[in-house]
Amino acid sequence: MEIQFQLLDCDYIVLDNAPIVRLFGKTKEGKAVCGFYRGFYPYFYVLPKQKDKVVEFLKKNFQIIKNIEEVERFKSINYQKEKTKMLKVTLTDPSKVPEVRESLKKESFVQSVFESDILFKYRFMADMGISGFKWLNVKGRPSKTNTVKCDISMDVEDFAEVENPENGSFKYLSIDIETISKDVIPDSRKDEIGIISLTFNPDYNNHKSLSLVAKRTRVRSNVKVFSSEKEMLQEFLRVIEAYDPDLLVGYNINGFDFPYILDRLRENKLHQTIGRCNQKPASSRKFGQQFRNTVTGRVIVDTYALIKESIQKGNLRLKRLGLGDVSRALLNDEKINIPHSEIYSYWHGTEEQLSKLIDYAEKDSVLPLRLLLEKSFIDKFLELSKVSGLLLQDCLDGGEAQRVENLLLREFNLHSFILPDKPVDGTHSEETEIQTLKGALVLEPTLGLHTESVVYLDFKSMYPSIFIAYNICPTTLIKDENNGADTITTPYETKFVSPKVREGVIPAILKRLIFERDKVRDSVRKSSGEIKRILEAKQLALKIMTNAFYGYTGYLRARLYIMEIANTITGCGRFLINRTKEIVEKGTSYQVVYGDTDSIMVKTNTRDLDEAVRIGHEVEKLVNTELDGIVQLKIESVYKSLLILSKKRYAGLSYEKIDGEWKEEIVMKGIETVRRDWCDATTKTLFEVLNILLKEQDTKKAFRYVKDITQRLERNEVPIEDLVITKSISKAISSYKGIQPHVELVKKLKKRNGSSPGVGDRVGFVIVKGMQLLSERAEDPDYVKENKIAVDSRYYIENQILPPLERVFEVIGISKNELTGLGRQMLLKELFRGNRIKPTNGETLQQPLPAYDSFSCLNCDTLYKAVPLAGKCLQCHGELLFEFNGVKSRYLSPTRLT
Amino acid sequence: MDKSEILKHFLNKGIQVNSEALDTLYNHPERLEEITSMSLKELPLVLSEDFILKGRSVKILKQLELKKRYSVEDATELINYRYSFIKTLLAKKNLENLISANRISDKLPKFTLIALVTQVGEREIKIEDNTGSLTLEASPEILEHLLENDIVALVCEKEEGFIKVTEVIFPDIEIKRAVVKSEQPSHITILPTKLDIKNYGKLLELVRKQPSTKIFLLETDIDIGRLKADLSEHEIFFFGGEANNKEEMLYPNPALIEFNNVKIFLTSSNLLSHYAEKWDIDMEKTMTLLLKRRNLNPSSSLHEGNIYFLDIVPDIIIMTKGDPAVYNYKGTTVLLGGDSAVPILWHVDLQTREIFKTSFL
Repeated sequence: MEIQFQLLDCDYIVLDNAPIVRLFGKTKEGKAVCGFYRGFYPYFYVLPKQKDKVVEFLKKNFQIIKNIEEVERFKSINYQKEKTKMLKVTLTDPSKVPEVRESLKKESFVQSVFESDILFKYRFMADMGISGFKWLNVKGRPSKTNTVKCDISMDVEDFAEVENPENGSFKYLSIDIETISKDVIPDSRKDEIGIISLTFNPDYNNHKSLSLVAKRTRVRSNVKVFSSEKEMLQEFLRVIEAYDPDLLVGYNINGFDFPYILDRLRENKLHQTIGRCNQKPASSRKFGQQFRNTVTGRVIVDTYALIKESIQKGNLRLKRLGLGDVSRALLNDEKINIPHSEIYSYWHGTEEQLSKLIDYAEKDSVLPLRLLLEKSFIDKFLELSKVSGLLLQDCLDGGEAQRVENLLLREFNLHSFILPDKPVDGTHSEETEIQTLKGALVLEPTLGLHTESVVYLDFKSMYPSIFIAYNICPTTLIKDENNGADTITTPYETKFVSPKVREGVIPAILKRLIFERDKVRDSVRKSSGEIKRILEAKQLALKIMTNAFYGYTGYLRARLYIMEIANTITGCGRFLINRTKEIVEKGTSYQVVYGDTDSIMVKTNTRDLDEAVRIGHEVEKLVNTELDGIVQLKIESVYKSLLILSKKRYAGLSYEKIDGEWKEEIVMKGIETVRRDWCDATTKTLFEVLNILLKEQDTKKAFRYVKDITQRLERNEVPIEDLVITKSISKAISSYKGIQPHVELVKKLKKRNGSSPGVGDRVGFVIVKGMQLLSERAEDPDYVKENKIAVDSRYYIENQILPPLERVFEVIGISKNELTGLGRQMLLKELFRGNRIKPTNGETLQQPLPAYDSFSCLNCDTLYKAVPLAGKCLQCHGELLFEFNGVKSRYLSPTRLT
Repeated sequence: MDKSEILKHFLNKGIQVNSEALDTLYNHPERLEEITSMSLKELPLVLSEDFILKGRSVKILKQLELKKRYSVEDATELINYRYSFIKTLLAKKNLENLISANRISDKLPKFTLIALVTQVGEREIKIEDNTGSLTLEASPEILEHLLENDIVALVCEKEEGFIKVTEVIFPDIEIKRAVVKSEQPSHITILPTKLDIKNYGKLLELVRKQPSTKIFLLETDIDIGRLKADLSEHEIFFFGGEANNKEEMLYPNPALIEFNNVKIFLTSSNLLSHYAEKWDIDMEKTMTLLLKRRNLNPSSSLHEGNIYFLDIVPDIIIMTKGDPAVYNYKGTTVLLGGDSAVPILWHVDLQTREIFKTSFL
């Protein structure tokens, strides 16, 4: 038989003292396949000091040695003209490789071992030239086996990768569990699962969702009830088997739902073979704070982890990562509102409450799947799997280094290079004491608001270009000066052999990736629909892989870690940026206002976009000529206005020509526009100020806008909802060491209402006026509205609204003092102090009081029990007055002595 | 100057002159010149012949200086004077990592601030120095005896983003301070402020046993005219309150005086009880805490100025209200009591600094 399927997973079993590789995948028709491949064995390399002793040692001590042969290979680090003789040791059992390796390493007749820590599945895939998530054309015979749960099982005789840009159709199953526990954090050893909510794509038996409930309750069409957790789990296993999903999805499924389910299966003495293998149970292992979960033949996708990754890479700006917050922001949808701390009481409550809890759980399984599919978070990883060769699960869970190394393994082996084993802890620590990784260059920016067009140019793939230009690779690095080979010297003064002598493996990989990316980019322009989406993801994956090589070379745990190479790359980068600035400023009348790592910003003398682009091209041509083709500078966009706050912090109104039309976008780098401890008023104000500055370039209007907000705050005209600050209760109240407003509010609510938010809940609060300390003035927003309590406008102005704006206004010439109304310029001071809430009666203030109980500020009404040392209000530096029974005066005239 | 001019001169200063004094001044121009050049602090409210001829053996170092009107600037000046004074004292102590509020950073997790306490919460205090104000955390034990307006050194630690006070250091009195004594034999007797008439005879008897003693009376209800007549061989000093005979020399109350080289602070206010009750501790501990912070009345009002602020440390403190007691703290003696149910007579030998207590029982 001959079939084609897309590779999902790969593992092995050992049968009759021989490994059998299993390839799991899905056909275009949606059939699950498992192909068994026999005849491939694990091996590694030994560089002996005494060859015969190594052979003798191995044969004497290990029964599992299948073969030992002498081979010639190139070592990967430092240029060598000739290959080195070494031994290739083949074993019958992959699981024994570590044992053999460790034994050999202890022996004095062994110099070193190579590639002895490559996972067997990746050894197989590299040698066979197959990559994760790619299509395979497989020839073989049907296999009669009950060890796997697949539609098709076959013994593979031959296979090859085939090019197919489309992806197969996969089954997604989203899972959410609700545990029944009084404790803050449920204990999987004793706290049962009450509800398992499942959402399917495509549908399962006409169900989009199905909730399994371990309690008798009202029956609904998508709810199945059971009298015990065990029965419910058994049904869960039946559903998995019947539906046979390819991808298991959830929100923090890796950190919670999945390990919890496995524990409960164990407690209930049920099997955990959730995967496509009848023998291998699913596993969950904790590494530090993270879980690594595996299910044979299936892939676990954690939507939470993907969103977090997106935020870290700067592709998403979100204040909070809760499922509700993310869904609201990205899907315009919400969770069902049940506070986490009330789940237990809902479970034991009325029918209505239980019904609502079931809906809550269902929504919690619907939303992660919607996020994954509608927002295409997984697309990039599908393509990275193909480009790097890693299986999809490892692409999702692993880091960049793993992807790079898998690619290196294949390419190095192709050219007879072998990789060293991964360094053990401490291997490079001495070296790092001597050398440190030197960073990229960031030019000193010209701060302020630039209202003439600024052209943004970047070096196309700078670091990869440097690798290629200087033939930088561990295999070409010259350490021995007397090597005699034809060399290239970099600006960092490291030497590499010329590509005429040997083309470095890494430069070759990079050339191929860049070439492929250009091809894909052209294809993207010509395609549409699903294909276009896949190609765009492929383009992104190729870009990620291309740019990953530089970081890899400076990564201490990398097999091919060489600090000199990492420093060479950045050294060359710094040289190029500096040289570029020199070329532009000496060769033209334009100024470089900023430069960072691989890009520069050149200020033109025009406000016309087309003219700015023309100037950009002029700069491009000049620089590329002068740099002699080492790297290519290219215009990316034009900023019609650009506000530079500091290094790595700027905002600009960017224009890019797409399909002949100018596309406008506000670009922000390094400027925090969303922070968890900001209220909405802060974010809105900051955005609006930037908008005004960049689009209208009107400093005064921006300042007036801020003044208006502060005045509206003083008049209590800003909606309470915009002033709510939210923080979560992450632990028991008694565990908090410090005093925090939201914690003090929880205590207050408990006293007031008898109940309060619990661990895991978010607490929203506003700061109200009063003389107490700040943490005591945190109040429930609803309570504030009901009781018409005045909000502490000064707090919001000084601590929320103004801080993010200070830097912005500072670079455009308005100091912090002026911003807070203290300016030497009367006009600005008056602008902020105008329209006070209480009109001042000049005569009243002159009438002396007989006594005083506090001091209060004439301007902002802040009260003080004792006069500050400064003699002025600490909040606004306003004049202080005596206050007695609510009456204020500048003077005191005591009526009697004590 | 003729007599009417002399009278006018002193009346304009708020000082009364009795008829004998006026004659004496008129007849002793050199003394008139001396007295007219004296500051108000040095002059009694009523000039007497005695004063003109003998001068003042009691020198007033500090007294209340009332104004008709106070402004916030006065309050500011007052607090800043105290702050600067205490800061200088504290800075001489070996404080670890002494910095100002604006220099707090993550680089120095343990440091000391000299600050004015502006607000005391349950587990927080607000403090201020010349560079800024901030809120610090502190345990109830640390905050127990702290008051607004205290000026102290606070040893702090930065912990999880919060600043916590771990120790409070008060300015205190110098430990190596010498016990001040008068060079010549000198005694003072402090009479009880309230005295039953039936004990009057006993009082005279007790006082007459100390022929050379000076008598100090604070805000007494004893008939001063009669007392003066009966104890004519003694010099009697009246401090504050309503003197029965307004013509008698009246010294301010409260006041810090110097008498034969010994500095004595006298007051008839009930300060100690007020703070003892507030802190729920005994009088001796209360006194110690007040002396340590160099302020006998941290909650004093603006018009009381710096009278209770111990920029000058008294050698003897006399408070006539409260249960009778004597304490000694780093060279300062504290005498309490005078209006208890059982009247007490205190006799102090200023040359030896011995204290004798006589009960009327």
